[in-house]
Amino acid sequence: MSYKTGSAAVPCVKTGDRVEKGAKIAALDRCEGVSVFSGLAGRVEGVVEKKMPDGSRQSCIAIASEDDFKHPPLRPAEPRKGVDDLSRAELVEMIRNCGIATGYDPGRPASSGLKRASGQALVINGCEPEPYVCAEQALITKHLLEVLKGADILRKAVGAEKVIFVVEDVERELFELVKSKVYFLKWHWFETRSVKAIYPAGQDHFLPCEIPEDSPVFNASTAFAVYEAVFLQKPFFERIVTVGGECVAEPKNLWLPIGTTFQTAIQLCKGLLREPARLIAGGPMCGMAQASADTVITADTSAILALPKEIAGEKTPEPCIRCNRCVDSCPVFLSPAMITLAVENGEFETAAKWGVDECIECGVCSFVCPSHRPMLELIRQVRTERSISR
Amino acid sequence: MSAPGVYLESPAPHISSGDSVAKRFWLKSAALLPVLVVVLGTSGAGFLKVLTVSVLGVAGFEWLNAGFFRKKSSLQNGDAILTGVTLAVLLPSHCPALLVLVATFVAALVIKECFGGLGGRLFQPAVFARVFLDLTFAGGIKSPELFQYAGEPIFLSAILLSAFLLAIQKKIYFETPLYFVGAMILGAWVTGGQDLLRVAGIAVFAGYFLITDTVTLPLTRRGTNWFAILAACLGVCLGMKYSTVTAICYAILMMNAAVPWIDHWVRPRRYASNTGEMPGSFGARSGLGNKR
Repeated sequence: MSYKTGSAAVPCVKTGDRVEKGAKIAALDRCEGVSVFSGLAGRVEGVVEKKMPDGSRQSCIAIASEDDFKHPPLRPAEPRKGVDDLSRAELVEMIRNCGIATGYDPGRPASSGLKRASGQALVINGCEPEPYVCAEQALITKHLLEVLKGADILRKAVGAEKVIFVVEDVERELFELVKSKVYFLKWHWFETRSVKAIYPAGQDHFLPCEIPEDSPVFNASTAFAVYEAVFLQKPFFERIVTVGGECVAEPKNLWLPIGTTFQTAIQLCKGLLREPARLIAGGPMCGMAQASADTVITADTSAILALPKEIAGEKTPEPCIRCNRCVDSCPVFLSPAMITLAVENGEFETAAKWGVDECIECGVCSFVCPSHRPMLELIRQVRTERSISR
Repeated sequence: MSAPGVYLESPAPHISSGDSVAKRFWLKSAALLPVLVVVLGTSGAGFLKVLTVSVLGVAGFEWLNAGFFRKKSSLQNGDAILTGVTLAVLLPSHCPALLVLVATFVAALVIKECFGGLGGRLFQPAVFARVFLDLTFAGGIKSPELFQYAGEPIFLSAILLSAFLLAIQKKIYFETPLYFVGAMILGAWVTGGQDLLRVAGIAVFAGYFLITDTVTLPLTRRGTNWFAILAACLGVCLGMKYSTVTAICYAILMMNAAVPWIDHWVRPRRYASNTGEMPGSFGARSGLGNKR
């Protein structure tokens, strides 16, 4: 019932109530929070503690499903008219009331990002954040017009003059599709750009292209959610999730209600071919490994991956052989080897001098390390220690 | 199959590039095969004895050390074998077995294990062991056959083939040995009085197999290249007084000692440290290009 704001929404249903898909089940309490909507039709069983993908335990409203997930996403018959006449404040309020919690800062309400945002341009990040994950591109391909309309609403809500739509260079068809759509719409304030498809492009708005300073960056999925909220008045209760990995029988992108367990998501892909070594919430580079499939999907779960032993098996760390691969691969030109060697010796100040605060935590250093050192974990450890001591 | 199990919980990332320490060391040892075959063919049983004692000595001392301190043996990562093979190549084939054993003791225990094992050593162990023997038994240690006849076609071909085999593995910067070789040949040409072909052969071997011990190199590409150039310059200067093998070994050890300074002064230039600068290599060697 709470996103990363820290303020939980207050339940507005009680045990035994029957709720419809999209019904409000928890109302926002403070101005920073967002309301929570039911992702499925069913009967309320009560408030329970559930494990989140980040390992925390949070209060959730349990609903016994009377839904088999096979219904298409909720769509009202008539789109809202007169959207162009809505003011910036009205748009922000509308987005907030619909509980959109993806985008600007994943897991935080989009509306809080919109309030803070300013800048000449708005950037829509159409790049996939990590390997294996393809939810964003599936969404853009299937619902391009909606994504573009959502991006335009976001532009108005931010007060930006133009929209920069960023797509990976390997997705040439998608790039041409976006470009031609914008051309036919005659939206001259839209600019389409392609960027190198090299990780971590797209992750946490780290885009290898020149964008105007202070430009807010939103994902395509946020733009789509905004379109649904403003045009279709549909609250945010489901998201597109990549369910994949070598162990999943039929990997696919699914529309799943927030709160769906990983087990259900995997069963919707015809289950597992074999026992995975790791079950990951998110991508393989920055995602969180889960101990069980009971974890639930949250607003920032872009993927559920079941990876086998030969790909994600346990590796024994060895001492650093100073091969420089981490230094050469670091996208922000840090020296991860020096930072992590300092952290291992408890020299956090030395780590700070080598720029640990500028790390974007993309995990490339750990990925390339032939010694399989837990570099990202060490970097996160020192950053946590430093943030506590501040 | 449903998803009932209990899975591994571990920090991200959950995938790796497939590179490993063992792969690096074993492949580097394999690249030395042409050189070993030629030296074995020309020196015969003498070199076989040195090679056997050297490899078994380094491996044995590491194994004993692991057993004594109840540590997990690291023999399977190939570092001991690589050190043993490199040391054998640096010693003459008539070197007494006892001296070879002393050298392996120095390389495996004094230089490697006393400094914390793999990753902790400050000096190239094989080079240090060779210098140790040079200083301790000055009369008994001569130039190895590989260095004496490095200018001869068969030796030169073997060295070049070994260097090529190492270069195609792409585990070292391609330009670092070239800087070393270039500076060595230029220095030898300027100072004069040396067989340039022989110097070239020695420089290629040293550039590819002696200075590229990653543990004892600086942490940046620029730093590594400076290391190679300065080592070559030192090697040329010392070569005017000592034999080429001794000069190169001293030069490498002196530069090994200078690595912390190089690391201090030559650091990667951070992203966005200059306004508008875009990351040039942007994960280029991460192997994560074309994500799907």
